[in-house]
Amino acid sequence: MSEMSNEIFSEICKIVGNENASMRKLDREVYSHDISPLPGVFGLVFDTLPDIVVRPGNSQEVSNIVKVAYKKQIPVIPRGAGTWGLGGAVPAFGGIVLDMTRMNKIHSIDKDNLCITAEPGVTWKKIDDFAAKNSLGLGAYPSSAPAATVGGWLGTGGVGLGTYKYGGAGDQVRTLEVVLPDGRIIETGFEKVANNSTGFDLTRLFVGSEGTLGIITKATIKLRPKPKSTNVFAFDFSELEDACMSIRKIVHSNLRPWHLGFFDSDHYRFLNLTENSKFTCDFKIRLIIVFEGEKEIVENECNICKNIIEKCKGREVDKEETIKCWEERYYEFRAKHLGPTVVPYEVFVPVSGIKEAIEQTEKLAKSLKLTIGIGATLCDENTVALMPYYFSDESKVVRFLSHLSFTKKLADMSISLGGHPAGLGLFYAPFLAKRANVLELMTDIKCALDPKNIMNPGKLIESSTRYGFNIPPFAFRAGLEMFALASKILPRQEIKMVENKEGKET
Amino acid sequence: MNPSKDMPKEYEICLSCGYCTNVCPVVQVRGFETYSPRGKLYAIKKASKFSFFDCLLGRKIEVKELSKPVFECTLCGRCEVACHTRLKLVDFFEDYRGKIAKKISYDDRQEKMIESIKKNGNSLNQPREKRDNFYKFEYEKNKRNADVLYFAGCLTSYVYFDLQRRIIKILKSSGLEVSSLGNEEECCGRVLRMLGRFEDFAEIAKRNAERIKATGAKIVVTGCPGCYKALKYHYPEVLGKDVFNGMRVLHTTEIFLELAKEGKISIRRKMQKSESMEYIWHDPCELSRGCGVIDAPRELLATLGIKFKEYESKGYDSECCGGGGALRAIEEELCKSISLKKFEHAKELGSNAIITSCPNCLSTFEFARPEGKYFVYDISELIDIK
Repeated sequence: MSEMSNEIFSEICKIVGNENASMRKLDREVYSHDISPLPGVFGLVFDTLPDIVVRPGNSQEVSNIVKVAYKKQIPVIPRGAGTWGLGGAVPAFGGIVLDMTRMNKIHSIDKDNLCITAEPGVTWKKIDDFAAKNSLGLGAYPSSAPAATVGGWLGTGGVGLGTYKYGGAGDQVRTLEVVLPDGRIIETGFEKVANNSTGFDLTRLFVGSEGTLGIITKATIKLRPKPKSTNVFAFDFSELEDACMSIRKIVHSNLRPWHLGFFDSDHYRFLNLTENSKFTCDFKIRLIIVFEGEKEIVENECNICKNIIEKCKGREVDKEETIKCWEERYYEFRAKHLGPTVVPYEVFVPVSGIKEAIEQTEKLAKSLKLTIGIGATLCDENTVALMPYYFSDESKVVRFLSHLSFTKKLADMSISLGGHPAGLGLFYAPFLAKRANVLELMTDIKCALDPKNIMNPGKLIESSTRYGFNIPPFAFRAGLEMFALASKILPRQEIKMVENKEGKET
Repeated sequence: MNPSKDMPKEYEICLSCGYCTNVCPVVQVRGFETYSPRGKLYAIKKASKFSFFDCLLGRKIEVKELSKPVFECTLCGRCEVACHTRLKLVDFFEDYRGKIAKKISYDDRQEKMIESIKKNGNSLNQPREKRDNFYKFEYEKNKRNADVLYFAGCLTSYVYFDLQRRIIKILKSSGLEVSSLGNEEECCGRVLRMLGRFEDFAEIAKRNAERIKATGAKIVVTGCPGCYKALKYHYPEVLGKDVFNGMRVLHTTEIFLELAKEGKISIRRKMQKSESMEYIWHDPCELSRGCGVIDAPRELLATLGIKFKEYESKGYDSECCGGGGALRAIEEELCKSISLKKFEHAKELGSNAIITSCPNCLSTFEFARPEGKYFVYDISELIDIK
């Protein structure tokens, strides 16, 4: 689009004002990435550099921009805070990146009907803080709440803290205002009530669509009364088997913890290596459980839960250490110092398969010579979001690429256990090939809503190269198998030792 | 040129999680992520190594452009509090500023400031001999073993001379003996450090420290958080822990609090009377986040019986006045826009008078103050001189 750029740019400047649009090389470069490091060589495959970065201020501006893009057939990539790792907000063919963070107003809070209406660029933390002032709160929010935006989490359909009791991203929504690829502005549900009637669930269509069908410009989010009591406790297990058994028993009970998740001891060991945090590490798995609600009920629930766990050979962690662990909930990757690169990946596996999933993950890491930490969150009674991360070094391109085979093998493993990988984004669309019918239907829906394929093209249902052809699933698989072989042959990626910073005055 | 040589490497650790973006005062004005610490680190990472693919794809950007946002920063350190991987971002930006400025020339205003500190002992290009012109009658110069050695700082010496007279008078009226280095006092060097001139900083620190030590005073008091941070933390870093032989280093709010608790100082009558004044306390970044002095000014105001409001973001999470990091010398309009936000927030909270305890905040607020409607005070202006 380079010849047309200036003309389009001036049209866009007229819509949002000169100060909210940029074609500066540096701005474009900054908006060409998310949380995961992309080696320069990826530029040969994907055109990740946007041509224009725009910061729209309201739905109408978004609609007007989309109309320009629609007319000229230019890709439009909506972007929240860019805190995802799968390139959902990274262009595949250049185009216009919409930085939605200027739309960061909370419109209203309905204390009677327990909901809040906000723009997509507001962070989840800001919403929760605002609700707290009104004695309300979010049911669930992402563990990256200090940065993650409303639009971002909904776009990726993620899970987070509180998911066990209140569901994932989509479950928090009453209605969405969405700008469609032709510029129409629609409302997907109802602000005051749940959409339990007949008709297509349009809200759900946009949740997890990675911005490929439209742009969320407003969301009404459900709230819950602020809990009168919150109780966090943790248990250590020496054996993986016992930990998995106690998780199974908890999900089979009538207990409803707000949060149920675990980390392996390596995770805490890495933290200790990074900053002398002195976590105890004499266990295999540390389970963290949170109950919240009415004081008496919480007390009861905790007692019942602790009973269950103790019978499965769990040892309760002391209060101080538990609080220390819980305070780290927004900071899962503090140990990045050891990398210097840390690559997380997320897959869903059924509760019945946790033990096998963890064992296989560890085996996989060993065979690929990777150092990994494992975290997990229970999403509901039968689903576990398993989030292993590994250390690498992006400056060593060959080795870094070879390590990517871990994510592919992990996804394969989750599928074989009856689960699936958490996101597709820029790279992992070939995973959908196994579900050919689903892929076909999803493509039909995409074509119906976005006939000119301008909304975040090259994502979710296709991994498109900058040359216009999709990466064929067989090539994707063969390539990653080769990477895996390379990873097995290349020397092990050692983690860095961080110098002891103790004694240095702060 | 190899830009990565000798350069600090924090960009390797940055997780790109974006926690810093929302708290950054520059992003709140400029909007684009380019100005957030995450964006700055990403750009520096690009600047740090040559990429064949960037050249091939026409994505190469000059090191000068990639490094420029580092200077558009208040060094307020709010990002450090938010940082996922606990990076010492202020130290990093200061270091990077100095090292890159040695390789690439940026704005000559910074160079002039540095020259002036070296030549005149102050950052304001004022004559050295006039440093104590406005307060020399208030103290006994070079008095040996006085209770208090007052370290004025550049901005107070040349611009807020009323303030220094007032501070000395308050201390003296509480029965303390006060001395000063007079025009032998030099800039504390904090600005040099902010611009990454560590060697120049060490030299100036050494000269000041020797002179301070020679007075034999029991306490060094300064009203400037920048000087306070330099004297209390940076001087011991470069000159050893016992640089002042056990002399206490106090900020005015700390010594005033001690005096207020002993009943030696009280509220200025004029301030007591003005009912139309709704005060709000602004934490100077260097004092609160930088040095952990958060409770002292609040306790002081409470002890004096001054009712005040609080900003939503306060203490370790306080928002910058806009004048930190020598930003006013680098990007005046940006500095003003950040500062105006503080006035807007004060208004939303029903306040019309900002109290602070930092000559730099004071000067920034006075520079940005919307016409007529708002007042700005240094905390010492609220204290009576008997």
